[in-house]
Amino acid sequence: MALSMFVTQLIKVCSFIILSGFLLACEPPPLDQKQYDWELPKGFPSPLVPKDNPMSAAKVALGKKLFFDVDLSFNQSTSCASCHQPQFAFSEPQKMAIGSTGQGHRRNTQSLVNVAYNSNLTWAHSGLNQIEQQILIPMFSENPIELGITGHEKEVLQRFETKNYSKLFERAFGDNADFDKIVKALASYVRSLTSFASPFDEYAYQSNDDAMTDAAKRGMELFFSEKFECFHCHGGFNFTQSSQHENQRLDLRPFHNTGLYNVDDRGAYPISDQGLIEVTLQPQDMGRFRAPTLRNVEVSAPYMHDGSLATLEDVIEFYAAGGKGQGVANPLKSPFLAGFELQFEQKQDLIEFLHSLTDRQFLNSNANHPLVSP
Amino acid sequence: MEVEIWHNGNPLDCNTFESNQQVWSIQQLAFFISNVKLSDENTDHQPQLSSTPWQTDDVVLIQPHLVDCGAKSEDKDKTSQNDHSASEALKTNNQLQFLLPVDLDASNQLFFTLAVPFELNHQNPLLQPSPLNLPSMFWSWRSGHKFFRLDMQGPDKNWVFHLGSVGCTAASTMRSPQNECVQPNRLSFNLDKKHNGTKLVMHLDRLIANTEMQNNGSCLFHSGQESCTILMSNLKTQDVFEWH
Repeated sequence: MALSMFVTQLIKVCSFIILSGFLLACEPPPLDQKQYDWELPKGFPSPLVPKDNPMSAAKVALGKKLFFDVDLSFNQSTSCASCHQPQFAFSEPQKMAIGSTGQGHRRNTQSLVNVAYNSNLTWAHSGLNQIEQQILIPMFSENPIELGITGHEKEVLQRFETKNYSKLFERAFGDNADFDKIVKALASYVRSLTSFASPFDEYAYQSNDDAMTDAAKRGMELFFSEKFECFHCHGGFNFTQSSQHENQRLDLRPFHNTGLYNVDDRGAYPISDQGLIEVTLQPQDMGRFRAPTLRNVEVSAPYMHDGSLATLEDVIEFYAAGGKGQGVANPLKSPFLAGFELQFEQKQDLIEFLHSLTDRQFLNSNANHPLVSP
Repeated sequence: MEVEIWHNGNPLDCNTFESNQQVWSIQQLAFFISNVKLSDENTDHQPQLSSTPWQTDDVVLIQPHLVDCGAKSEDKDKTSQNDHSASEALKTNNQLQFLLPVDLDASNQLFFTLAVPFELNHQNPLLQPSPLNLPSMFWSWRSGHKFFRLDMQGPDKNWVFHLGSVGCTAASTMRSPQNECVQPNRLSFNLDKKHNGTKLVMHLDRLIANTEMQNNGSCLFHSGQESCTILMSNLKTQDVFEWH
């Protein structure tokens, strides 16, 4: 009797276990695999996200860990965050980037603020419009070498088979690590870096009249004026024409020649970097680069594709002059770079305005994230 | 209804054209059309537009496809051509799409305004549907949209025409005016049908006539730009638009 009761009990327990196992298998994945809350301020549109890599909190968490992990470089010296430093709005305070072997990059590290909204990525590439594609460049490029994974794939991948990482990959993808998943997680993390809580946003979009100083408001008037023309390239909610979102999918070519150089009087840029023409081979694309967002521009010095302008003051003086040196007469220069007269106070006001685009909350929430050492 | 850009009496397919022995290339040509009405002998009829990325039910953004004819053509397989046309649909628009079929045969006049209506012109762009949230066609909340935009590059200079409302009063550039601007610059056109009514033609040469782009400056509607007077007069009197 006791035995039969025990057996019945055992069967009950077993079937419960089997049943719950079955239930677990059929249960939808936990919330952090399915849903993502952008936590955008009221009215701001969500970015477009590729269908094959939907956002999830688990992917963002994994991507964040990978982003700061020097194990992603072949020699365990460099992480994404070595160049894209959070306290500088995910750029870095030096002219041009340096890769894991010490090899120099010819371009300035771009800020990753609101990169999810970019219709084109990097400084000048009309065909590169998905973050997943872009991330392959720093990971695998051989010239210049950035993370330098090429030739060390197996060795690098093995580092992400630890217990801790396996758990994160399992949670994000239900699977083990591979480079496709690493890329997707990194892309999800950088997409999550949205920044719309600056004094300007509070003034413009939340209608708080007191959010900006009077000087910043005066600078704003100049910025949006047809005399200064800044907004023609740095327009829209993300201060770059190169933006798309869930309600705006139209694609306009956002590349401009700003008259930074003119080495042959016919508009040529130095052979080291000629911008969009290198990709399209179209003569009119000489010297054209993408207008980057101006959000948090206060902390992302130096400026321009080659980091050749050190301060915001330099940048404003450059645009007032309508270019630099021979570049002023560059025949391929954008029509909005005719130059303008600038009073000292106007310059100060413009700088105040640009400072009002700094989102302290964003910078603070990402600051002090430690680099992971091997 | 298709929209075509013509130059000197012929359709312009390339983004370059000659004017006064100079070659100009068009960097951007786009304009808003709203308040479209068709009329026959007796009645006016305001057909609704279908909602697409390029139009709301009353406003359409035209940005014609102008080929870079100087570009070297590249060999492309069929798939990439298909991809190309799909992505092209998000880059250019040369038509007005009506929600329901309209009887163009029965209509003999086409009416439209070359502008965004005041009620829609000064809203928060974040909350506006496409194409009213395109930064390249938006000045600011105070000034509203550029109704017409033509950016061109000449042999050694650039030339730009941006048409929109001016003299708008608001607390700042990020606030909407409560009342109509001093110069709304909304031009309306009432066109007789010339052929079967399937084409709206914009004559680029008539628009820029007498502006002498090489010598005269651009028109961005800030103070004292002589070219603005000429361009506005051309739009009003030179049959810049025709209904074919």
